[in-house]
Amino acid sequence: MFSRLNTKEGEIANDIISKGLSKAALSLEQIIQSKVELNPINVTYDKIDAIFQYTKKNDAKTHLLKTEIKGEIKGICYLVFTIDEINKIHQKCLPTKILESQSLNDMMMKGAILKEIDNMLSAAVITEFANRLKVDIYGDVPNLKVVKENTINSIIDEEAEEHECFVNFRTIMHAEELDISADFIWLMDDDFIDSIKFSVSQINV
Amino acid sequence: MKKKILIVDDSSYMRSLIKDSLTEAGYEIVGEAHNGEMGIDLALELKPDLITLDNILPDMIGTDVLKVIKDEEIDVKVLIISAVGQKSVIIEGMELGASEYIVKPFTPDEIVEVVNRILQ
Repeated sequence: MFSRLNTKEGEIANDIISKGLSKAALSLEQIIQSKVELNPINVTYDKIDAIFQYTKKNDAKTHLLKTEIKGEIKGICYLVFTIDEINKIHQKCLPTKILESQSLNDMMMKGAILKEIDNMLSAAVITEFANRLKVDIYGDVPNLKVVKENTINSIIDEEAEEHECFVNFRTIMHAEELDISADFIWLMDDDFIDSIKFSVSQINV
Repeated sequence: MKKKILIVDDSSYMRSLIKDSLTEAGYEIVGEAHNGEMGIDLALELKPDLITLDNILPDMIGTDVLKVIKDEEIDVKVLIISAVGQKSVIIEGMELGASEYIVKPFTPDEIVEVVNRILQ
């Protein structure tokens, strides 16, 4: 049951989201050179009280990467890594000279790789939306904040209200070999619903 | 003589990755820019053989940088390297005169292979 979408529209929306997230997982696999699985994928198209949120983790501090989606469909996506996960990504992806360096440039590189990962993962989903729905959308330059884990869901709630983004989907990207489970959370505005309906009416997806 | 390359990308990580890959392959990185305006200035000043151009920059869209470079009639090849893989954006980039378009993520071997092909 999709309520705001009929069965056909809902199936197509689910397919686009699922394929977009799968492509993001493939991008992450390529970056960290480790198998990535998505589990679960949760989607809602309705304005409901409880959106799919960040799944609690043990770390006190987490890195919250945020990309604003702009263009014909607007939204926000969040990618969340714990400190421990970030260390593993750095170890896997950065050369030793940078890992051991205390220079400002090299310290900045450690944040830059996270933003670049967020950029590539969000772009994979955006590309699927753009190509399938024939819409002009793009992700803005990613933003990185270090926040306490218990503040993440209130940030997401507030931004969902502020931007009127009530289409919500979330997955957790598991890289078992590296023991990474990153939450990837999306909020989209109602233009997503309209684009799905229009595309189905044109039978062009 | 080594071919000269200018890297335009807002990510220091990505600039470092591209620089290391192409330097090891025998190219000379003559400049790095972290935004579009700086990229245009360095392209005019350094006259590189090839520019690697990110498509989403803090101040400009990469294809707009490409338009300016082509309007200035600089004899330079442009390789767009972007996470954006939309067909319409790739077509626009190629129509504006980009030599090739790589969608991130990529391996060091892939970028070297493409640059070799463009500059051969």
